[in-house]
Amino acid sequence: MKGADILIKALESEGVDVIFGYPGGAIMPVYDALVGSKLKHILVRHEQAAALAADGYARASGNVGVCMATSGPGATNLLTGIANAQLDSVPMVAITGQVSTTLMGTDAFQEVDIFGMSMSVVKHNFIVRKTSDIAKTIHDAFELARSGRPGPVLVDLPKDVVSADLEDVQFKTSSSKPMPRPEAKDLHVAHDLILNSAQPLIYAGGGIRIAGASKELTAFVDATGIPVVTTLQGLGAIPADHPLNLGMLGMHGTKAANFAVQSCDLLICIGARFDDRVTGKLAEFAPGAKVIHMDADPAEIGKLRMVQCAIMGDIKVALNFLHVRPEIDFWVKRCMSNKEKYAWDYDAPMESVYAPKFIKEMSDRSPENTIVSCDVGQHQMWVAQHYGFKSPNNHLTSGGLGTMGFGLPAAIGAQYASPESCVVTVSGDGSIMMNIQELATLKRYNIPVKIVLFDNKALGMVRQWQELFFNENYSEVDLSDNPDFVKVAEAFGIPSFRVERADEVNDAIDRMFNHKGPVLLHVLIDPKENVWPLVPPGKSNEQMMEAKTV
Amino acid sequence: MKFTVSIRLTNTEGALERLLGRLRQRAFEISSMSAERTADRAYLDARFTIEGTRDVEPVIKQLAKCYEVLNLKFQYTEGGAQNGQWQHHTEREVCLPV
Repeated sequence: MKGADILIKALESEGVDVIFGYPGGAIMPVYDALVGSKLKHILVRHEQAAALAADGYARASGNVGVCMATSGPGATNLLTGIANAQLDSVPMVAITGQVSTTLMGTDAFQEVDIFGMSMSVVKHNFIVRKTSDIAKTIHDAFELARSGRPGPVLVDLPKDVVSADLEDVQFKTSSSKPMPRPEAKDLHVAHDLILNSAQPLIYAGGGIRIAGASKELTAFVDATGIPVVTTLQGLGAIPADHPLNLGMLGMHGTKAANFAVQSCDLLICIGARFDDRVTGKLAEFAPGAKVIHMDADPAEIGKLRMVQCAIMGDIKVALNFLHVRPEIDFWVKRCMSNKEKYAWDYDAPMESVYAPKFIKEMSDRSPENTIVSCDVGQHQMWVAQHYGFKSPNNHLTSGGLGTMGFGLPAAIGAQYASPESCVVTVSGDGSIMMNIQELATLKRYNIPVKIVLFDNKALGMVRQWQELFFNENYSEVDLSDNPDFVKVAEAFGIPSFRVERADEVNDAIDRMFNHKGPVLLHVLIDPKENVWPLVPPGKSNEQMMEAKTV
Repeated sequence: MKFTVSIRLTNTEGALERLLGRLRQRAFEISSMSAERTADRAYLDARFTIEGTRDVEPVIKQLAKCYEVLNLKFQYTEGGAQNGQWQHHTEREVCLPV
């Protein structure tokens, strides 16, 4: 059995069904072994897209996503996608080809030290120098990727190692280990903190999705009656239309969410990490609050905010234990009053398309269980603000790294994770160009991803910041010479049509959802449209700018 | 702030490099270091004296998160609440692989 066959068998033993990748010189023995295996390989058109598709697959399925590339440029092209998975705690195994062990360190053709280069953007990485280590290393890589706080693991495989023969290989089958139960003493401290609070607030993050604890969170909220705010990654952890859901907090959060955070006396942080886009000025974030922090990663506890109670281990157990009912009627009424007072206003008397209203209509008209992936920029925030997510697995967004070009490959991965679901990617005219080559992947495999492309002929979020914080000194944000995106899509064999007026929106959305295969909807929007509200950099969360205050 | 960290780690490829990277990324400066392989070649015993202006506890947790690290203790040699006392760090990320 060759090393490459051992690798394929080890992947099959881990339950892998699909790999996103791109072949090349050093990884050729593995591609040779792939022929005839049970693994489905999706040939993307750039290695970065392989990593991002594996990321989207993992987020939508909860399983480990797998990507593969050759040595040198193939491996370096994976790095952005790997870093993306690391920043958002996404389980991934990245397999890279490497030059033969005898050539390593000689500046050989397509040699880079991807092990060293990737070290700071992976949860862990390996070089396999012996064929006899392949099966165990792959097993360990999967265990590491999905255990505790998930993340990407890179396995670098020299060509001679995967080409050599070996007999009597043992394969292990992975089984997920249960999370340990939280300490009883910590749960009792949390119990008392909640019971004695007058203005408690739940701050829910991406850890809810990772733990599969949405149901438990909703039950906890219903039992305690405590209002909830969510991070970008926490959207859908509790349904958007839940009465106690105040929406997203932070830089582009809702006023109701940010006001609640700033006035609460107890912040119950569940699977979130006090990210700077969430806290604004850290020293003034939730200034009067004691903190309960539940997380799988000990390194997150006390990293940015001192806590009064840390709960490690199984979030579900903790949430189920803490069904207490504090006396908080006055506080809840105040939160609800703010929610009503500051509800989104979609009344935009203009002929052109109003992006927030478009997203709201898309949300209302989408089929059940639609998965939405985003790119990065203004459209990403509009989706976060105006799409009503019911499950955290249905919102795929690059929150930590902010990777322009994430949306389309992530949607491809999500469609393989959930073939029956409608998958939409919302992009911008800046972001789409970062991985537009993946239209060829949609066409090749007839992947029925719907692309909504907002076009404001600019790098909108950068333009917005230059307008607000750099005295309207617009520097390198003009994209008015964009290609004709409808023609581009058609050149790839993807049907496409354009929307320019507000009164065309609803029919266009219906037409897009009713289309059976891949389709691109090119939506022209006002280049001056901004994302509101906005907490300016260095300010605390109650200091939100709005359109009328600019 | 100045502190010393004593770590036993598995002698696997890149283990020491991983620790050094975590210190560098958080702007800690190593003023001295030593590392010695155990006689059976299975482990490394490393010791770093480190200076920095950031809180020590977060970087200790980041070092302890490395899967090669089997045990870790540290002492403040200048500044810190328990100057001179060795503190054992036992907290690990949950669900470690076997």
